[in-house]
Amino acid sequence: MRITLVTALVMQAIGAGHCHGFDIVEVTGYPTGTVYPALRRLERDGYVTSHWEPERTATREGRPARRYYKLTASGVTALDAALQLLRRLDAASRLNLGTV
Amino acid sequence: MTPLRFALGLVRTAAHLVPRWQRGDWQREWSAELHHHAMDAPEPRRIVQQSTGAIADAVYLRSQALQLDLFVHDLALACRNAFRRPGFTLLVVLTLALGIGVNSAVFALLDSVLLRPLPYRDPSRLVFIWQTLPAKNVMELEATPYDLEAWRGLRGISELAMAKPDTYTLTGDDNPERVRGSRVTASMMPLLGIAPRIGRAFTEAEDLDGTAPVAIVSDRLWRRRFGADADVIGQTIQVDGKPREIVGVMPAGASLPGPLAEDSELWLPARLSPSERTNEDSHNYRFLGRLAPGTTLEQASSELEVFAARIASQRPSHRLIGARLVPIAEQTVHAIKPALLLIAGSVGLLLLVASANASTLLLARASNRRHELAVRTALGATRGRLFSLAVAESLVFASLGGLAGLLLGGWALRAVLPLFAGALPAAIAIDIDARVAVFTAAVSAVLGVLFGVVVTLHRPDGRLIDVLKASGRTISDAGGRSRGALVIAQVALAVVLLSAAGLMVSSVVKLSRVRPGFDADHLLTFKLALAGSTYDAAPSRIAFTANLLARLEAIPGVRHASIATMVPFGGARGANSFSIEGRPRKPGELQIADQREVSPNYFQTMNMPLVEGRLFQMTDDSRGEPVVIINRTLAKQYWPNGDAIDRRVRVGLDPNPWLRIVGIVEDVRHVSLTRDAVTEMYRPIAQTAAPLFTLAIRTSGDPAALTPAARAAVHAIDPNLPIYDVRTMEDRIAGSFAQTRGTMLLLLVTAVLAAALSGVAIYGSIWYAVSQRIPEIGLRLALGASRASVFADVLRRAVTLTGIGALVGVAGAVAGSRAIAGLLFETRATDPATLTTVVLATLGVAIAAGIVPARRAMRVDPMIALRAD
Repeated sequence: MRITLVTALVMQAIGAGHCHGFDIVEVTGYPTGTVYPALRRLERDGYVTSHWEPERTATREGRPARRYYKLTASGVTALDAALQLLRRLDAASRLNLGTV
Repeated sequence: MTPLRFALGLVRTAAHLVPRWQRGDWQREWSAELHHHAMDAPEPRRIVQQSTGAIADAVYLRSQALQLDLFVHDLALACRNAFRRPGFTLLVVLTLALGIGVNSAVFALLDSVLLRPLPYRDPSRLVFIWQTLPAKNVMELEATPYDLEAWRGLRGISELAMAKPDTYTLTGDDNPERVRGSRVTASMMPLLGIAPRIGRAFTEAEDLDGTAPVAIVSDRLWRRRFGADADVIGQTIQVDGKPREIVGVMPAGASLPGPLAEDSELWLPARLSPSERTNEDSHNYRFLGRLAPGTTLEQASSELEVFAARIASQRPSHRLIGARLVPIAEQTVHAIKPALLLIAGSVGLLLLVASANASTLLLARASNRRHELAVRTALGATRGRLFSLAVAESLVFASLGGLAGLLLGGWALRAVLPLFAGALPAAIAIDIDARVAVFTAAVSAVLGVLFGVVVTLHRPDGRLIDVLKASGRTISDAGGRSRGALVIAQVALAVVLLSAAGLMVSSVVKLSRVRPGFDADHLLTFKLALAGSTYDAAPSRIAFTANLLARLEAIPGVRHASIATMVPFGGARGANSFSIEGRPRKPGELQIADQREVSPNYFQTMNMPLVEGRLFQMTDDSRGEPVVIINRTLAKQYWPNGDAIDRRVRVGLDPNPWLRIVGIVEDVRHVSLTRDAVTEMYRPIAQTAAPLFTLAIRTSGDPAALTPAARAAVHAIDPNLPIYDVRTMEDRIAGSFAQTRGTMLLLLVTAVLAAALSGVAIYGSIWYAVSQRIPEIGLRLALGASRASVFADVLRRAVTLTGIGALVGVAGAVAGSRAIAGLLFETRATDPATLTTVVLATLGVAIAAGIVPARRAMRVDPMIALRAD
C-alpha cells in the first residue's frame, strides 16, 4: 500500500494514543470523509486493527460503545519509515534554504 | 429535528451503500461517534458537518467491494468456462501439473538439503576440523587423540568434540546384529545442542577410562531391541560381547552431522585409555568444533593453520600435516549439491517448456474467442476488465495445475528419494510440507498472472464490425507468430535438456564399461566381525577363518570362498605409511599404500591376474616368513626397473616386521570406477589374524541366492556372529555411482517429458496452421499443385520451426556446458556425437508430429474447401 501524508498522519495520531475515529479527525484536522477511508485502507492492509470498547465502560458513561483502532507491528514499521522520510525531507529543505 | 437526529438519519441512509456484511458494524461505529461528539461538543453545525463524511466512507467501502465482486464474478465465469470444455481444461491442467509437480518435488529436496538449517544448535557456527596432507593432496585426514588436547588451546574454537565412528556387534538375544555407532566425548551433545530424550548424556569423567561401561541407544535401536520400553535405563546391552549399562535413549532422527551420521545407532563414551590419549599416529578420530563468538571462519582457519604449522615443526608425527575447517553445512551437502542444482535447473527448464506449451494452448483458445471479446469490447469492457477476466481464467487453470502438481510432486518425491538415498544427509527429513505447498501456490499464482498478461497482450485488436464481418479463416492470425516463437522456445529448451541427459547417459555407459581390475559378476560379499572374548587370541581367529572357508567352499554352487579385510567398493581404504629396506626416506617424502589382508585364494576368487612372482600359499602363516604382494602401481612407482620381487618393506614404524615382496598383482579400482588404482599391499591374513573382514564368494549361479546358506555356515560355527552388509559385488559397484545414475535418470525423464511436450506443441501449431490455411490449400490444389508438394510444404514448416529451435538449443547447451562438466565421466560437455544425436532425434520428433497435419492438408478436397469459404 502507498503511504500518503494522510495515512501517515492517521497512523501517527493512533500511535500517539488517539484511538477512535472522531478523535483522529480532531487531532489531524482532516475531515471525516478523508480520515475514515484512510482508516479502512490501513485496516485492510494490516497496518491497524480495531476492536470495540467494552460495553461496561460505555454504559457507565451513558453512550454507545466506540470502535478503537491500534497500530499493528507492520503499522509501526511503516510509520517509522514514513516519519524518517519526512525528517530527511525536512533536513534537505533546511539545507537548501541555508544555501540560498 | 435535532442536528444529531439529522446526522444519524444521514448515516442510516448512507449505510445502504455499505456492503451488507460490513453494514452493522459500520453503522454502529458512526452512531457511537456522533453520540459521543454530541455530548462533548454540542455545536449543531459541526455534528452535521462531521456526519457528511459517512457518505464518502460508505462510497469508498462500496467501491472496494465492487472491485472484489467483479473479480469474484470473473473467477466464477472462468470456472464455468473451464468446466464447459473439460478436454481443453484437462490438457492445460495436465501440462502445468507436470511442470509444477516435478518442480515441487525438487523444491522439497532442495529446501530440506540446501535451504533449511541442519537440526543442531546454531548450525552455522559448527565446523569439521580436518587434518590435511597437502603433499599427497589429501584434504580430509582424520585426526588423532593427541590433537584433542592440542586444539583445545585454539581461541577461535570455543567448543571441541571428538568422535570415532565404528561398527559394533550386539548380542544377548537370539538376534545378533552388527550396528554402526560412535565413541564420542561428553562435549559432543552440548556442542550440537542435542540430548537424550530419556536418561542422561555422557559426563566428562566418561571421556577417560576407569568409569563404568555405559551406552546410549538410538530411538530406532530402542524400539527394535527393547520394544520402546520406558524402563530401559539401567538395563544391560551386550556390545562386542561385553555388557554395558544403558544410560540414555536419543530422540528419533538425532544423529551426528555429515560423514559421521551413517545411521548411527549406538553412542558410547570416549573412555580414552592413557596410551590412547597421547596417541599421535592413529588418524581415526573426527573432530567437530564451534566457532567462538565474534570469530569468523577465516579468522579461525588462519589461527588453525598457523597452529598446525607450529605443531608440524615440533612433532615428527605431524611433520607434513596441515589442518583446515569445513562448515558442517558444506561438509554435509557438498557431494550432492552440484547434482541437486543441475536437477533444479533442468526441472526449471521443464516448467518453462510446460508453461510455453500451456501458453500456446491458451493463445489458440483466445484466438478462437475473438468474436466474444470483440462483443465485450463493443459493450464497453475496458482493457483492464478484459485483463481481469484473462487473469481469472489463467488463475483457474494454474490453480488446478498447481493442485494436481502437488499430488504429482508427492508421488515424484517418493520416486526420486531412493535414487539419492546414500548421498542425502541422514539428519534431515524430506517431505511435501507447508513450505512446499506455499512454493507450489506461489508458482501457480505467478504463472496464472503471466498467462493472463500473455493472452491479453496477444489479443487481436480490431473494431467489432471488422471482426464480425471477417470469417474465421480470413482474419489475420495475431497469435500465429507468438505461437511459432513459443514452439521454437520449447524445442530449444528440450534440446538443452536432452543434451544434458545425453551427456549423463554417455557417462553412465562409459562408467559401466570400466574394468575394475577383477570380475565383478557372480560374487557375493558380506562382512563379519570376530567380537567377544572367544576371539581375543589370534589362533582362535585363524582357526575360525579356516573353518568358515572350508564350510563355505563345501556349499553347492560355491566355486571359491576367500577373505579380505577390505574388498573393492567396500567403503574403506586403510592407507598406511611404509618404508623400503635399504632406501631411507627423503625428508618430506611420503610413502603410503593401502593395506589389505587376504586369504591365499583371494586373488583366484576375484580373478585378479598375477603379474610377477607368486600368490600366497597355505604355508604363508604365522610360522612362515612375513610376506607381502604388491600391486602393479606400487611396483611401477618404487621399482620402475622391475626389480621389486624379494625386496623388503615395513608398514608403519620400527617394531613392525620387514615383509618380503613375493608377488605383483594387477591393479584394481578400489573406491570408485572414476579413480585410478592407488598403491596397494596385500598380506596373508594368517599372519595378521585381523578380526574384522569381508567374505568374498565366487558362485556359479545367482550370488544373492546363496546368502542364507552362507549365513547358516557362519552360525553353524558361532550363532552369536551377525553377518552384515551383505551385497553382491555388482550391487556395490552400482552403488558407487548411484548418484550419477540417479542424476542421469532424473535428467532423462525431464528431457523426455520436455521433448514430448515440444512434440505436442509442434503438432498443435502445425495442425492449427493447416486449419487456418484450408481455403488456400484448396485453391492451390484446384490450380494444379500436387498433393505431395502440399504434404512437403506442411512438413517443411514443422522441420523449419524445429530446426531453428534445435540450433538455439544447441547454442544454449554449449553455453551451459560448464554446469554439467563436473558430473561427467570421460565425456566432453560439448560432445559432438551427443549433440548431433539430440538434434537428429528432435527433428525425428518434428517429422512425427508434422505427419498427421500434413496428411490432413494433403487430403483437402478443393471443392469443399472453396465452397466453405
